[in-house]
Amino acid sequence: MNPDLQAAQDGDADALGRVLESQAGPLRAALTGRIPAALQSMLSIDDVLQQTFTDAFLGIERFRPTGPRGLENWLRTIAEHNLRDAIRLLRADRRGGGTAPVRDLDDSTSALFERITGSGTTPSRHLARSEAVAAVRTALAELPAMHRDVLERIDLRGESVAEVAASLGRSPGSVHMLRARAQRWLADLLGHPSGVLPDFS
Amino acid sequence: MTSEPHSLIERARDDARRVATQSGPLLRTATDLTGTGGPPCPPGYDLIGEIHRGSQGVVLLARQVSTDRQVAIKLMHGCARGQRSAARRFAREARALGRIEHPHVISVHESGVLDDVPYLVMAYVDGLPLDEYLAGRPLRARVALLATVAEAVHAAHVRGVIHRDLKPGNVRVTDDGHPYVLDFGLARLIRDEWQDDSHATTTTHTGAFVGSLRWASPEQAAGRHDLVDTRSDVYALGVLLYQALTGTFPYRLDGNLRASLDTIATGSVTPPRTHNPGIDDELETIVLACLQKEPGRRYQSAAELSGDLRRYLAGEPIAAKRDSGWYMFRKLMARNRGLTTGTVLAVLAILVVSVMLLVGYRRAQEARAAAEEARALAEHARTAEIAQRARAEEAVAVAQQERARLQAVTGFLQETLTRIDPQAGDRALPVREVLDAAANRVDAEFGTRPDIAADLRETIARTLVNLEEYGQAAAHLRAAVVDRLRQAAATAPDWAPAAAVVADPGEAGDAVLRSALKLVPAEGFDIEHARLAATLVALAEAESRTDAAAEAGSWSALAIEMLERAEPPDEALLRRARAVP
Repeated sequence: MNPDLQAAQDGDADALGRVLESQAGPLRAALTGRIPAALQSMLSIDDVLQQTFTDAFLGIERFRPTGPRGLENWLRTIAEHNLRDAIRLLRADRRGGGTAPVRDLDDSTSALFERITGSGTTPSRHLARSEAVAAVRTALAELPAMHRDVLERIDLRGESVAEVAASLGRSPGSVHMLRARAQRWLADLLGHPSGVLPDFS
Repeated sequence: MTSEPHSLIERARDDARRVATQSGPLLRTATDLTGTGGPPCPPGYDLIGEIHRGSQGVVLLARQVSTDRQVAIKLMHGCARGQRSAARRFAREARALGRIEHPHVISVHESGVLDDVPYLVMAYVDGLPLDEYLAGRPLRARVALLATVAEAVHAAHVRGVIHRDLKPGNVRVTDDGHPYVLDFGLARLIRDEWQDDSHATTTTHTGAFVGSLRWASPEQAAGRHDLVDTRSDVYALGVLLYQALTGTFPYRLDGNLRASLDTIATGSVTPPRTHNPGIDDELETIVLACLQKEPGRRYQSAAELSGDLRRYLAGEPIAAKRDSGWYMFRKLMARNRGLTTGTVLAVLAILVVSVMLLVGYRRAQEARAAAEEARALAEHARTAEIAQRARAEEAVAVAQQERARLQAVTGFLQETLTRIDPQAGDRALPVREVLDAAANRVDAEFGTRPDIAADLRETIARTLVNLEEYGQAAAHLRAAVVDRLRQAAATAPDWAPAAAVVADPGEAGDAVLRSALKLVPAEGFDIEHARLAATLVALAEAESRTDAAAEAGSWSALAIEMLERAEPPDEALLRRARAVP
């Protein structure tokens, strides 16, 4: 195994930096032409690369090489994932389905719970509204500040992605990638047996 | 503008440091912070990316090396690990799922177990979930798409596979409007792996609901997996249709899990027009027919549903109206036993004529469909063109005969009812007299048309059952059984011996009738068997409420014997037959 990669897996962040630098070119090539023209003003390849590298720093300890191109495949998987998230949410924004007007914070919290647990996850769980709101608040407290901030401002308070992006100095696509990751973590927390939901059994 | 890799990596490193230090302990222990985790990929496939991660597993996008095509791979983390029997059962069931070949169904290409994790490989479709695709589209387009989805579901049903977890996420629609139904049978695979069959319940040991609650049928909500059949999918299609038309769901499910399950099992459906006044009466009837609590009162197949949706789109009468008309009449009769004869006659007239119109209409439709099928076949099989054309012409002739038959029935009913004038005397005419008169005319006028006679006698008997005149009803149904035998013999020579036994109407006692029924062809199950079995079940039900109830079981036993040969079996009728004491 590449000694830098071995060192990176042992916790050497500088070594991982070098490994990622060597992978930046192939990754950029793999992403070239993948962002639809209509979305290029809101999302760049750099946005996707930065998020992918962040994920690599967070997950390198769990990476298990599966062959000579294992690392490249792993990074491509993460990059594809991030690209899809960004494109999906940017398109939803353009269709007008990104965020709903907020009347009441409990309403929007309850709606977020419904979206996260009811739309994509099976088995689904259904709780009384007050329980759902409490569960979401507990789970939000577990998220990193940056992700919690994005989720609260867009999904709970109804701010536009453009506003949030401008205040954070990021592109809308980059904000959507943070938001998608935050939603996924929230879903994991809400669906985890030892997590924040009461058990019905 | 492109950034230097070094600066991108430095910013990423800062972000990662913040995430790692700011996330709560539960998040750090509960989940992989990358959200990807480097999932394994089965041999023969190159991993491209991860499509979805849920509580039951991960869906990967991969490329099949041998064919260079993109596929979706489902890794079923929710299944029991390390159990060989479970893995074998999974593989066996998965092979069955691979049998479904339909242009609108995503079937399983391959299955296996990788590091104790079962996986399925299927075609990859880059489309939107049904609800997202339908948002903002015209109502008729939504109805048409649901009709196509119902046809796809029916295609799987006829191959013996029930979906059990139909929901918008399991129907993907491509940009060009082509819907694909995916994950057929997966709910059962998951349920089987999660729990012991002998303790089949709706919730798992962690209290989670297996399947998606909002689209679950009442029988699934009640944990009655023994009652789950193709009509459970019809119910889920009804919820999808409801959702497509109204943007919301038939019930409010905002209580705890137990309360939500109770609501689905027993709660009243909010009429769709409450949410969307643009839905007309017929479309609402179709939706509500899907959402009936009792499976026997729903559409009996997804094909019936798609048929009614297509008829609705074509501006033709829908079949679902027949059930609601009869149901309303039964309710009316049950609530108002003291109705005047005039009122009863009016309702009876409307009911009987509409039933007959629909029976005739459906048969004409069937004949027309047969004609169309024959024409299509003729186009494709040029060498057999003449024969196929003859078949088509024959089918058209059948349709014309049905139309003539329908006119005869309608004329009969109108004439019978206008001869009896409830205003003629100062007493209200008993309904029995009306029915007796009708029965006498059936004998006199339809002696040579046993098909019409049988239908009319069954209608009269049904009315008598509602008047609690079970003995009279049974007598009419016995005569209808004889008519059915004669009707069958007229078209199928192997029924002739049975019909010969009851050739003399004066001798059709129970013993003679039973002798005749013993000679009914005992192989196969065709339309004549189906009609006869339905009449026998009605006879058994009526007789079970008379003093001669002991005889009822023999009629239902004969019906069950026939119905058990049907492929697929008419479960609703079988249940009725088995319920006869």
